[in-house]
Amino acid sequence: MTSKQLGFLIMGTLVGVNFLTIPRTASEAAGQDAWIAVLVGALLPLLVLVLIERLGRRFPEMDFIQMSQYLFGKIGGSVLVIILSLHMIIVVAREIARFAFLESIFLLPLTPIWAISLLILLVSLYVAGQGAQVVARINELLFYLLLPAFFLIVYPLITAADHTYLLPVGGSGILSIARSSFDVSLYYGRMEFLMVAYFMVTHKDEVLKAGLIAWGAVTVPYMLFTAACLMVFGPENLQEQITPVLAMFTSVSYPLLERMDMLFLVAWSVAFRPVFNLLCMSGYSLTRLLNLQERRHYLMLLTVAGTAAYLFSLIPTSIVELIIYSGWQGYTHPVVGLGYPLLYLLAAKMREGRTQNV
Amino acid sequence: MFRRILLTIIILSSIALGSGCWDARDIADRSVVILAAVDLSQEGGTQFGKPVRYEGTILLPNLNPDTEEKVRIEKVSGVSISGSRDQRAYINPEIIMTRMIQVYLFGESLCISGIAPVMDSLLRNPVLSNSLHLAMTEGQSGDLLTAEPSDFPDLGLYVTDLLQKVNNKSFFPVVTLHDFAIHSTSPGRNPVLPILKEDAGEVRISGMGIFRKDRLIGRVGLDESRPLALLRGAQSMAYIPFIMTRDGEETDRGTVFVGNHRKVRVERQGNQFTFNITIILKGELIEHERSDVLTRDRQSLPKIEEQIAADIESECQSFIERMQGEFKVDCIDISKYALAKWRSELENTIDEGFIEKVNINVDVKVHIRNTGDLL
Repeated sequence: MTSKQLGFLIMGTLVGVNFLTIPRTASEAAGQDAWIAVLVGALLPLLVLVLIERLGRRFPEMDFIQMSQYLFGKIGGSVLVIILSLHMIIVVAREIARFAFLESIFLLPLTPIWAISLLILLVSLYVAGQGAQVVARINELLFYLLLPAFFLIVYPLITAADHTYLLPVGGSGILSIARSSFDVSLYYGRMEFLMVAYFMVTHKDEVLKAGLIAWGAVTVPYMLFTAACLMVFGPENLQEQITPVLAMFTSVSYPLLERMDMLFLVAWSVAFRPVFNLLCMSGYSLTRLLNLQERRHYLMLLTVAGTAAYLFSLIPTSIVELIIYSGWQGYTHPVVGLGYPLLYLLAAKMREGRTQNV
Repeated sequence: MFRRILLTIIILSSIALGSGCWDARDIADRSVVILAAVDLSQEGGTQFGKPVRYEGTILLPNLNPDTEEKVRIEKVSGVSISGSRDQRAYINPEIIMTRMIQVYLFGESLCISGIAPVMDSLLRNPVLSNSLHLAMTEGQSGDLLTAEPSDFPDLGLYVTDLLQKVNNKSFFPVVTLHDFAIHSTSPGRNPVLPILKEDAGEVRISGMGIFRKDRLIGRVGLDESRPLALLRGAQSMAYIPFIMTRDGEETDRGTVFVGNHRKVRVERQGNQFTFNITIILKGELIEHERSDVLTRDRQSLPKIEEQIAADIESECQSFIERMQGEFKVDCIDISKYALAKWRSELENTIDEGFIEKVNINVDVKVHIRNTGDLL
């Protein structure tokens, strides 16, 4: 794929249901400074991006599986590939559950969760089954389709926002901002998928630039929506909302289309991009690991990965369980996101040193 | 061949299922609620062995063209407000759609005891828009729903229009569910609600209720609603009449149609806070009875502006005195500016004994944009 397509893939993977909930998490400790926490928290995926890019430069001719086995041996490398694939499958499960619960609460209250999850899975399998390039193109298409939705923020800002909720800037204290920044950084997880996707790009020298643009395109809307939610609800009331971004749209009556929140939700709920992006990456990794070349093998492994994710997604039986489950699962992002490239870079350095000694 | 048959089956089933035809319902089989009222129960009693607390009344326009009555009014009571909906099963066989509710009314006794429990029920309901309008009533709100405005299809549409457009012609705040929820729970802020009353079969706005968080603690009539709205910064377009005098003699009277804007600055010396509120009124002179040409006398328009500013300033000062002496609650929404500067210090104490002790200065600036002469 091209570096531009990788950019869209990054945006699609980072932005999921968490986009609707991030203002609440960010304001929990940082209060009126939640928007600063969102900016600081975004440094984690930036660091992951830079580390993976540095790593990838060292092995431009390899893919993730070859690099793993080259650095850690056949068994060690395979174990690392399997762990990353499993990690992505669990993230997919979480995303399926999040989308399903969201749709169940707001759009399809009478439809069982398992049916909504199944629908999400089937569509995602179909998309992921077309291969990484098609997945990237669909991300691009969905980006442009969802772009107008971001401008909906203007109306609540004009009619319901109160700037005093953002003041005094920095008043919550550095420690509070730091705590919220860490919580927020977990929301930006999933950048670790670049460990696989980086090697699919043809012009690798453009990856950093494309990644930075994508990172900015994710961070700026996150920050703007957090600031807007703060101005509409205030830091205290923000804690009452599970999905503050949606609540913000219900708080004002848009001219012509009064229930804009429903329209936004319909648009948003079909965009389960992280699900098919990560399914594609995990399916690809497993197929390459098993040294299978045919498309039907990829589809078969994709179905296995998807079914596993689907079954995992059914474990939380309520939104509360899902929030707890997601909270714990979120901690794996910095561990995997930073741990993998650092481990690989360390191994690469050691191997380099050994080669020079010889 | 098999693939074609499979594709045909998929397309046909998608058309049948995706279009929703299998689950179609006639619109006349649904009850669409546009106006709802909640009260504390007057009759009491028990349900499921627990004391009944609330009465919920809804107004449903009859969508079936064959019915005689334009609307249906349903009153139920219950232990909790959402729990009372269970009683509707026994009196209404249709599917009740609450998505279109435009106005929620609260009875006087409920407002005095506190609206928070009802607010919880409303805010928790994802199908309700938080932009629906709120008002309180004099007496029980359910009783008001029996009024039938002769020139509107039903009371729901009339009240919705009344509350939604009141600020097009008068200085009066429009209050939504979102506004009330935010003002009743944020530190330093307090909500207000329009008061509706029935007068000789007509429903009209009679003033504003002042709340300390979710409880009604006072009310003002229409005369005091104006300074309250202006001090609160509730943006409106409204008519302000004026009378010009010289040596105690009336020399002119007329009206301006202006929009309002508020600026607030807060200063502090130790524990003494001073709020400087500037109310800016901009608009046009639309009437003045004296027949002289205003463009010939450059002092005429400024004098009218000064007179209006003085009138409004005086109204505002009287209201501030009443607020600090009687209501003892920040109903003009200025404490937030102190929080914006000293949030961590004031956040926990600003709702108790703060507004009574502060100095509040009001400066009104009036700017008439037209010449005041006939075109």
